[in-house]
Amino acid sequence: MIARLASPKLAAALIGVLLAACVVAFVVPQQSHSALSLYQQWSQANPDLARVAHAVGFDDVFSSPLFLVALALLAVNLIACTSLRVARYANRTIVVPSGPPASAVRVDGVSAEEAHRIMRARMPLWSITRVDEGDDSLIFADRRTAGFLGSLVLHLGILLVIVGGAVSGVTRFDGRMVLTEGETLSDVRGSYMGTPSEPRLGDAYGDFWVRLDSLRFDYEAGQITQAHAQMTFADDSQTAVRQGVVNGPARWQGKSFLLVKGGHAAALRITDAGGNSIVPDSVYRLGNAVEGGYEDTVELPDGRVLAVRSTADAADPAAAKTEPLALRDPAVTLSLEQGSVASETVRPGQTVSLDGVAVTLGDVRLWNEFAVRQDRGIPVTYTAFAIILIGTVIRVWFGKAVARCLVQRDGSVSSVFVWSGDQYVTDRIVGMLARVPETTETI
Amino acid sequence: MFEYVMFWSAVAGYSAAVLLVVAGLVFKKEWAATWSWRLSWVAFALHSASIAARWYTSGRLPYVQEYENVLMGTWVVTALYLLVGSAWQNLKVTGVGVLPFVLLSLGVSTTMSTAVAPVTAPYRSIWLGVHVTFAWFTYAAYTICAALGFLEIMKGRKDSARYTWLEKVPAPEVLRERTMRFVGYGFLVNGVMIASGAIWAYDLWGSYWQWDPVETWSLLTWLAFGLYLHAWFTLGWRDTRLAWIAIGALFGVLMTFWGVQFLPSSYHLFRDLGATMQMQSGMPR
Repeated sequence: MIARLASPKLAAALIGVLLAACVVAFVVPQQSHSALSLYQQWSQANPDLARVAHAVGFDDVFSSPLFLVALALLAVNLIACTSLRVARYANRTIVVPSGPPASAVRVDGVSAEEAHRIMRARMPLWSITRVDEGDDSLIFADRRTAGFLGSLVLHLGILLVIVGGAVSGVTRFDGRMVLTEGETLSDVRGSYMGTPSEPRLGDAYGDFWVRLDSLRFDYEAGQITQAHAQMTFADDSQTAVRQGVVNGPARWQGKSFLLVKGGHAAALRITDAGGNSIVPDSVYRLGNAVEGGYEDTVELPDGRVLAVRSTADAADPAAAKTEPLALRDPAVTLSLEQGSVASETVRPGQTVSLDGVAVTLGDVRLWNEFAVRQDRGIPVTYTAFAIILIGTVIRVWFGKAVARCLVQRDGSVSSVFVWSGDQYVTDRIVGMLARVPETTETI
Repeated sequence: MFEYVMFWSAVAGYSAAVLLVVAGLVFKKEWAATWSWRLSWVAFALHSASIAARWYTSGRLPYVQEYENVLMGTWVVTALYLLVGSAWQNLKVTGVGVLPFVLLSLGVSTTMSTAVAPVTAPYRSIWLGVHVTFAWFTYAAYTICAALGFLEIMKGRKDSARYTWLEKVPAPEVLRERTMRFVGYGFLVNGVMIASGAIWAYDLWGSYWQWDPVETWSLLTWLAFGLYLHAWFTLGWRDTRLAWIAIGALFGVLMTFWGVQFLPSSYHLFRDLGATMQMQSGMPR
């Protein structure tokens, strides 16, 4: 049973299934790509193809039962294979051959005791075993131990990668949270715009709150070269300020807050002619990017619509166009649609009257959408990768090598016949044993 | 301007080196092979100068744009080739595989934007630097492996005596042993490349592995070379099947670097890397 599970043919078949899945995923965008909504783009462009791919499960192959079963079976195959190899290695026997092979190199005048002593002294990484049988002795030099250890470590690493992937699968949290400068949100489901993935094991939400203190964008030649978010986190026991940048998210209680995309928000106070608020004072996130700024609408109680359009730099529209998130001289243009469109531009602190509605701009600030991620499998997976690399180094550096030295005595003269699968190893042992070079010859 | 002159001079040098190494083999002219080797050094020096010029102009190591990646990647491939040829004189002939690869890659790079661009936010990561550097060494090692595999197959042919250019090439078993060393080296640096890329991806996209086409091909390539090592160490293969694996696995390298660039379905493309960090789009409502 174990031999069947350890079969290389089973391993080859399972790897074939995994490779086929990879090829499918190469051709068909996967729904699991959460970063760019590539699947949505692709499925909109190729609706018929997308329908077929979805029907046969090709749009999510890495979550399909077939893929997961193949992966699990491969893990079992690896465990069985490794166990069998350990057992075989532990139970190996060394037999003294009746004679040397034709490729052996002969060294005269070296006794079995002397050869054994020299090899033990000069081959520290090798396991040297001497077996006597009648007049003959076999000195068995084996460097498999280190290589075998490397192989074991390597396979352990591969198993751990699978374990890490499984841990990630059941503990992964993936949510989207939008925060405006100065806004505070608790880590509860309602604070997220969406949570595509919640852990099946462990808590999805922590007992903490987060505030976006400030946000700043660096530009160079019209491109964002860095984004800086200062965030405050607090739970029952402590409060801490964390800095987050692209490629370096702020982290709290195992959750990473990755900067994804941003825009403008306008703090507005909207009153009637008498100064009474007609909608609650609020910071409105402007969701649509337009040239040089952002825009959105606010629906008033009487059904009219207030259009709000922001700019990062009212004094320099060209700069606002190339660096829309660098707030230098922010302003908003307000339009109230009622038959004809009345439009006024205001800067922070200014109030404008539009057909019976007074709008005061408090300030223009930034909002940012954060991809909030948690993955408890990360330490396991990273450790597994390190183990794989260490195992590979040991495996390649101390590759399997076995050498045999058959010592035959003819009266008082003894000869050593050296052979191995590696000419370099043979030459090295011959060099150690040969006191006088002329005494060696190939038989 | 200096970079431009150096780049095109290097391309001219590599072109001449390719012509000479091929002529040396086909027409059995020793002098052509010798001059190809010398010209490779000259072209490499010019190539280095063009990189230095770009580094000076941009104020950073050229690793950001696709063009810069090719510039640096081919430089590492050539450096490794020259190192191998210097260490083992009889392996200079691997240039017949390596030099055309370098020349064609540089040729493709000229179709891309060569203007110096700022380092955008996604690229500002030490892990990306590690990832890209190890990618260059990985591809260099695998290119050498494929060239050695090609030589091993040619040398192992029954009619190899017909090819006088193979006279100085080492025996197939020697070539095989050296290929194994380079595969081992490539496998290791490939592993570091994947691991560092995963760390970078987790900080940028929030996921260390997305089964993206680039990642998938990178993994397949790694597994292919893992198969080579498994066949060598565990199964004890010592024949041309190994050489075919080394050559076939180069296809994975080409797909990882070039093939996926022509696909619309990867979020990992070098041409728009980090597109999630546009910071320009509106908020979903």
